[in-house]
Amino acid sequence: MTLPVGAGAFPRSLSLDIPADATFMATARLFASAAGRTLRLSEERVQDLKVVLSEICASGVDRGHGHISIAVEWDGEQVSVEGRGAGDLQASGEPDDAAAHRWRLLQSLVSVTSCVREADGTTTIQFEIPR
Amino acid sequence: MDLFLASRTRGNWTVVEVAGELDLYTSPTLRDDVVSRIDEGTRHLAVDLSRVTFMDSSTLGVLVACLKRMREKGGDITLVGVDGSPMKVLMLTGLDRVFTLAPSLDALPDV
Repeated sequence: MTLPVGAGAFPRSLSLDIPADATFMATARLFASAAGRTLRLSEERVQDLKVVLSEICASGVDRGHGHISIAVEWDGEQVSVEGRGAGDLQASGEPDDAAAHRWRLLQSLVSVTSCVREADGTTTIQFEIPR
Repeated sequence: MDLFLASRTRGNWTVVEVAGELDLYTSPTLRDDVVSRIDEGTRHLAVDLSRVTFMDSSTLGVLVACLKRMREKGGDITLVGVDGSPMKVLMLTGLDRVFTLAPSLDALPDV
């Protein structure tokens, strides 16, 4: 985890680099918990963040990418999560396979909170921090 | 986090108790356990998820695959005690309407 120095009482960005290996899924969730609590997200949003980071990592593992980089940023209004190495999160294959569930889950989470952007294997998911 | 699995019988139900976090790394353990019980002839299976604190899409894939296998053999799987983030994951994907849900083991019907 990288914590920027001199960013004020709360860091504006946090990042995590892990191998695209399923054994590191729990590490991503620990990072999500730490990031969410550092940013003072509600417990429900921390749980959402854990789901999103876990899905980003699972997508990277499924697609055999060697490395996953996750960045969580806060602009004072929204939390922005960027996952590099996650591949294309768009569902493909059978409607009941894990990729389809992943896509449906992320779409639903994002519709509850904010938006998803994808380009060249980079996925950005934004959460609004509840007031 | 480690995954804990245990099983017991309750009336005509086979109950698989799960504790911990279910993800791409741990959910295959649950799949192997449930599939072996289905193949051994279990037809009324309750998966107690009341001590599961996290569940992701790979777990949903495992649960749906197990449910299909069970229903092809004339049985059913009931998910017990799903709450919090795992319940949100089920609801957001619409799978709360696919699975039979029970709030507790005491709520399982007689079979």
